[in-house]
Order: sequence, then C-alpha cells, then structure tokens
Amino acid sequence: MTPIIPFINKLTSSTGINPKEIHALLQDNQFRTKLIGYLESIVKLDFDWTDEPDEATIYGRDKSDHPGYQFPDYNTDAEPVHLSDWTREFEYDAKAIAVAMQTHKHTATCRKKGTACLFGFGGEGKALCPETVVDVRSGEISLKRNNAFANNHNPLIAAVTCSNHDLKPTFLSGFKSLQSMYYMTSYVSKFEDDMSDAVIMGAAWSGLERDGILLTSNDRERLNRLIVRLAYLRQSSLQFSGAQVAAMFLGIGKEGTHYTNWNFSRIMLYGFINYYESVVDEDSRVILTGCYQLSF
Amino acid sequence: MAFISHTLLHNIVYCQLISLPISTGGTISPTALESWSGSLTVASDLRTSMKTTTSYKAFPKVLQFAVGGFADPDRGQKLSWEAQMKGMLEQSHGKFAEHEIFMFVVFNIIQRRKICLGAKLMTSRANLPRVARLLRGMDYTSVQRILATDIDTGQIHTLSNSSLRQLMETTAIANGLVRGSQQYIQNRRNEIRGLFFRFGGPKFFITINPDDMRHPLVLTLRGDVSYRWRPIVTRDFARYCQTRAKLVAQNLVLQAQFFDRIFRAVTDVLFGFGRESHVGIFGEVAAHYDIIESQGKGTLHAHGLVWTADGK
Repeated sequence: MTPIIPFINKLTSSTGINPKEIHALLQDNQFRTKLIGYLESIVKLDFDWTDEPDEATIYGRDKSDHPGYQFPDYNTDAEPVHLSDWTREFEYDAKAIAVAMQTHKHTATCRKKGTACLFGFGGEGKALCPETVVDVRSGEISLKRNNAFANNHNPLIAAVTCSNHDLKPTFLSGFKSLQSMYYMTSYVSKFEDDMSDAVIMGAAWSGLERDGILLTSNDRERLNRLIVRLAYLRQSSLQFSGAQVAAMFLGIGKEGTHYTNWNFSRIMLYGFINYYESVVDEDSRVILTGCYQLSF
Repeated sequence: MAFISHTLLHNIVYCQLISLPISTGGTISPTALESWSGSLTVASDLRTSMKTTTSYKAFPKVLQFAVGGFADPDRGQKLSWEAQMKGMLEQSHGKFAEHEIFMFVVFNIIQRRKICLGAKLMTSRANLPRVARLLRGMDYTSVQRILATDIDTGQIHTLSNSSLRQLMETTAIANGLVRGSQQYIQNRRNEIRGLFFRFGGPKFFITINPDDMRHPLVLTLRGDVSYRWRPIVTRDFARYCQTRAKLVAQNLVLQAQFFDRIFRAVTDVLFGFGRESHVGIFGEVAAHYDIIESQGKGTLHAHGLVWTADGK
C-alpha cells in the first residue's frame, strides 16, 4: 500500500482545484454562497423541491398507478407545449418516484451488524438542518435537510432510473475521494476466499503429482505448469453473477466491468526513463518530481 | 440417417444436462459449474478438446442443427469465441440468452484460457534472486509430504517448512487478463489514479442502481412497444409483477442490456458526457469512472466517480 502516501501529496498539488484550495476559498463569502447554491441544486436531502404531490397522495394511490411503472406521457404532441406544464408534470412524477425510492426504510441489511441502523437513520432518523451550514474551519458542509429519513438524491436521476441511487460530494476531502475509490474497486467480484495460500499450494502440488507432471525433468516447464495450476485454484474461487457474465459477453461499457469516457495506455516507466537517459545524454538523469516531467 | 442418430445422442446428453441443479439469477461459482459439467463426458470434452462437434453435443437445445458452433470449419471468416458469444446472446429470440447454463460454461472455458495465458508469479525486484533460489531448491515430493502433515496437524496457516513459507510470503499470483482478479482490480485502480493525476480529486461519488423490477424499459427491450402490458398492470398487479420477475430472472442478457441503457442515459444525457458541450447537472464535466458490481440477487449496479471541469 505504499503508493498512497505520495498520492495524497499529489492531491494537494494537482491540476484541478484541490480540497485545500477549496478550504481557503470558503473564507470568501461570495464563493461560499455560490458553492452552497450549487450543491443545493444538485444534492437533495428532502422532498421540498416541489409541492405536488404530497406523501398522502403518493401512498394513497394504487401501486400499479405509480409513475415508476410507466413511461411518462405528458401529452406533448397535442398542442403547443408550455414548459411550465411540462416541468410541473415532470416534477410530479419525479417526486412520486423519489419519495417511494429514496425514503429510508429499515431492512435486514441496515441492521446487519447490531441493532442500530448502519446508515445512521436510527431512532427518529437523521437530525434536521433548516439551511445549509458551512463550517469554515473544518470545511465541513451540512446540507439543508427537512426530512429525517430522506437519502441523498437528485430529482432528474430519480426520474430516469426509477430506482434508488446515491450522490455524494467528495471534493472537500482528499481522504474521502480515496476511500470511495477503494470502496468501489473492492467488490468487482465476490471472493470465496477462506482458503489460505498454503492449502492452495498443497492442492496444486497434489494435482501436479496426480497428473504425472512432476516427472518431467525440465525445470522451466515444470515451474510454468505449477504457476498455471496455482492460478487456476486461486481464481476459480471468483464469483460473478449471471448478469455480470452477460455484461462481460456483451461488452457493455469497457470490457463489461467498468465505464469511463477516457482511454488509458500503459507505459513502462523505468524502460522509458532508461531510454530517455540513453538518447539525450550519457550523463543525464531523469528525476521524477511531478507528472509534468513526463508529459511532453 | 447419420444426422438422426446424432440428434438422438444430443437429446440423451441434454436430458442429463437439464436434470442438473441449476439456479438462474443468483451467483454461480465456476467450481460448482465444473463439477456439473465434469459429470458429463461430453461437456468435459468441450472443456478440454475445444472441438466444434463437442459444442453441438453438449448444447443440442441451442445448436440443434449442428451448424454455427464455435470455430466452425465451414465459416469463411475466423471468429473469436467472445465475438461469437456476443452475437449469439444478442439474438432477438433469446434462445442462447435464456439457456440455463450455456453462457456460464462458455464463460468458464474462456476464463480458464485466460488463466493459462497470463498466469504469473509476482515478486518485487529486490526479492527476485531469493525467490529464484527458493524455487530452484524446492524438492517437490518432500514439499508435498510436508504440506500433507501440516494439513493433518492443523499447522497449515503457519507452515512448518521455512523455505515454503518464504516462497508464499514473497510471491503473489497475478493475472491481469482474468476479470475480477486482484491484478485486474489493481489495473482499474491505476487507471483511476491516472484520472486523479490529470484532474485532481473527484467531485462526486455516485451510485446508480437501476431497478429492473419496476422500470418499463425492460418490457420495451423485449419488444413491447405498444404497451401490451399496460392493461395487465392495472387489472392484476400481482400477476404482472410475477411475470416480470420471471422474465428478468430467465434472461440475464436482458438485465445487462437494461442496466447499460439506463446507465448510459444517466452519464451521457444527465451528466452531459454524450454532449459536445459536456454540460449536465453537475455543470461542465471532464471525466467519469464507474465500476459495475452485482448485488445479492444478481442485478447490476455501479459506483462511480465524476470529475468536473475546473473553474467553470
């Protein structure tokens, strides 16, 4: 885990605006108001962003009548459409979905490790917060919350996905960004990995012996086979769900495992440095101080 | 005549196949699969010999005319297994997509090929001479014996043999080709780190969890463009939900396609990555990186990081 330390340093001096700079900017009144406005427009912690419908209407209607089960039909081709009408109908649907999907209801999952709710909705729910507060010293922002059981959400995402989602600002803390990166990369596949390496090693050896592979005199070949066998055993404990397998075959996103709008290519850093040093001058040295030394 | 006997054989094999314990929708472990397919001589032939005819014998339900299998010699242009599977699964009749184990067996074969192709023992440069010495000095038969006694005496976590212990400590098995392996995850992390370097810290962490039991798009993907389902929704809601659940559980490809549509709608339209201006609900965006995961019931969701363009 050594790469983390230079990496955190990097966060404080990279191209984009970094947490430290934002903390400094928070002292500025105008910036603070703008940032609060920006965040409040994206992340909602209550359902006050539109009046219609109220919760009684949403829960009172028949379940089959819920907008989440149908494509929206806003009668757009009947007459000249007014944006205000469209917005009203859209917000009506979005709120109906958001209230149904983004209100926390205690389940077996959220009380998995003890009695208190894992997501902090225990007791009377989360503490209400009449308006967004910024702690200038710590840089912590508590967003406006008028509903004790509402999850973070955005009306537009709710309307499109018809399901629950989450949305968290991470730019105020470099640690949080890293945490979320590790969180999202650790569950790509489920491991059934309760076997220790040694058991695997033992099984590999017994397998090799059974197949008569151990009799070959060629060391290199023997080693190769051993490694393949080890990898086999280790990686056959990987688990994918059926939908994941289908996703990989269809190649959705990139390789069926992730989405990104960038392409990445790998370089052999040391090979590159050696080459550069040999080409430029025999006595030259490349000193890595930041990413800009490499981008030419 | 030869063809008929062929088909007969297929049917016999298939009867054996469908009597196997199969759960669709949930997670499926390749080891369990292997034990099923291993009990069948034909399916295990498929695993080892990779002959075209064996795939016909193993899957008569989907390849009943004994044409169009993998690596068919009659095909003019060569086609990789992956490319062919993609084509098969996207067929509108859903025969390949809805088969109970066809997709899993083929996935297992491909996964195993990749393991063989890219298996490496990894160690740091400083440890390399030591590892080489340890491997050269290893007496395989005695290692086998030591491990057997260690397992018996319960010492397996500590390992009584010191050179074996050192070897396990100094090496790791790496294979960047196998999706889901440690090395693969490491590669993904490195790409995310690349984005950190380029754009600084991410601005938002998102979780998108499309609900395939609720969204009408699932039915449209199955060809229901004229709201054939709408009357059923209002008349018999319980039955509607049941039928939907069955439809989704049967067709894993449908789940993946549905997820892809919704997720791309969110990133391309709402976040604005599909527009020229790159302006969406976060303002102007620069990059996103999202990892697809599955939850307990097997459906997909994604966690992602979004970087906005700075100073705007």
